[in-house]
Amino acid sequence: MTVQFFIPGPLRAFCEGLPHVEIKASPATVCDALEALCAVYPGLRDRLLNEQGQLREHINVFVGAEDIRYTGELATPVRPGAAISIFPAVSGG
Amino acid sequence: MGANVKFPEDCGTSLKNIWQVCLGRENEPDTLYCGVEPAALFVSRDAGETWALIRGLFDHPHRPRWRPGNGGLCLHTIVPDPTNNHCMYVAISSGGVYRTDDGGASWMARNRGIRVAFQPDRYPEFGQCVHKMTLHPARPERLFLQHHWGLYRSTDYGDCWESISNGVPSDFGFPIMMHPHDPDCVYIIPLESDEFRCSPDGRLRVYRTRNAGESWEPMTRGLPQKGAYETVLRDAMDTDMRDPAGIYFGTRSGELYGSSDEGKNWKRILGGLPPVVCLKSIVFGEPHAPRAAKANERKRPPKKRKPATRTKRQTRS
Repeated sequence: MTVQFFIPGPLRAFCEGLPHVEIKASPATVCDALEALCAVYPGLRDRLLNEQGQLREHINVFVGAEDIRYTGELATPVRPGAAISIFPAVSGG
Repeated sequence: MGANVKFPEDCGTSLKNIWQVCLGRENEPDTLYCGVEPAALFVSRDAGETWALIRGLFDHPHRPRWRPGNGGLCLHTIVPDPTNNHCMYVAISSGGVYRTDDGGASWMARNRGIRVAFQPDRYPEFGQCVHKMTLHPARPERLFLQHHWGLYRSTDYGDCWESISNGVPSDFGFPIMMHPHDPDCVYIIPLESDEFRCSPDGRLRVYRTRNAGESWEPMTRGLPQKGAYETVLRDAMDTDMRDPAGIYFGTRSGELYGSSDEGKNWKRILGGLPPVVCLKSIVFGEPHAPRAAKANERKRPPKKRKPATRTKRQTRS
């Protein structure tokens, strides 16, 4: 099984410049999926997760079109072939 | 004022920041509107003595899915339709544009055509990160909007939006401001990107359109064009009501610039200020002075042609 990731521009430097990454893994949750991603591209870990393993405040993750904030956060289930999109949150000023 | 702006107990939330205070229309002189974080709108009908939460917006079914940006989940822009007491627009980061046609009882998301770059659905019904929105009283059906990536215009009271990013070095930025007398003239200050929120190429440029966004021209004379990595925030630009109009803006590095000829020529007015997050110009003793300035004239000795800056607690950007 594979999981597709969309990587935003600011983070592509940590995954060979790729906008789309496909990881061979069978994650049960978004947490597992991100672990699998970070195992291949370790530079992403500190950009996505804090030292407690929680998603950083200004990183948004979607499974399909659904924001995981509303579907169980990192415990959100991941189905086979899922597409996971990572976006930096917008900012004020 | 903050002490009087309070969420009712049943709301389960409390005031974090005040982002905007907006005067009511000419025919509602004791009315003020206040946009706050967490995103909500308050109204005062007694010149600020007491405030009431506008429940129609607070209870909107979209509200649980509005998301905070780095500056918090804030209602930062309030635009009353000057010709219709029932119509008003607000902008929320990140909720988008909402309009009421019934004096605040109900609100409709009005974001059709505004593209987002931060979620899989590029044209969602709501969730846009509007940075600023404005209209001219002579053309209340036409709005201009600076988005988190994107410049937009609506010619139908916000029902639909179209891109007007024609010839600007970047369509990222914060302020967007109408010329006080010309409804086709709009000013912006582009920033390079959301990753690098500074003047593109280190050149501090104000851009102006005089044809409602069909084209833009840089206004640079007197502004630093080398090594000027400045950031101008959404409320840090203002105009006066003179003719020709004065244009003023402040930067996060505490610089204040002004033009007395509608942007043709600029001067550095002041430096060394704290980060300028809000700037208001007040002209005393002029025939076309804004209403707030006229009210102040009764209390203070007149001054002439002096733009005033007002800073509030710095918010992260």
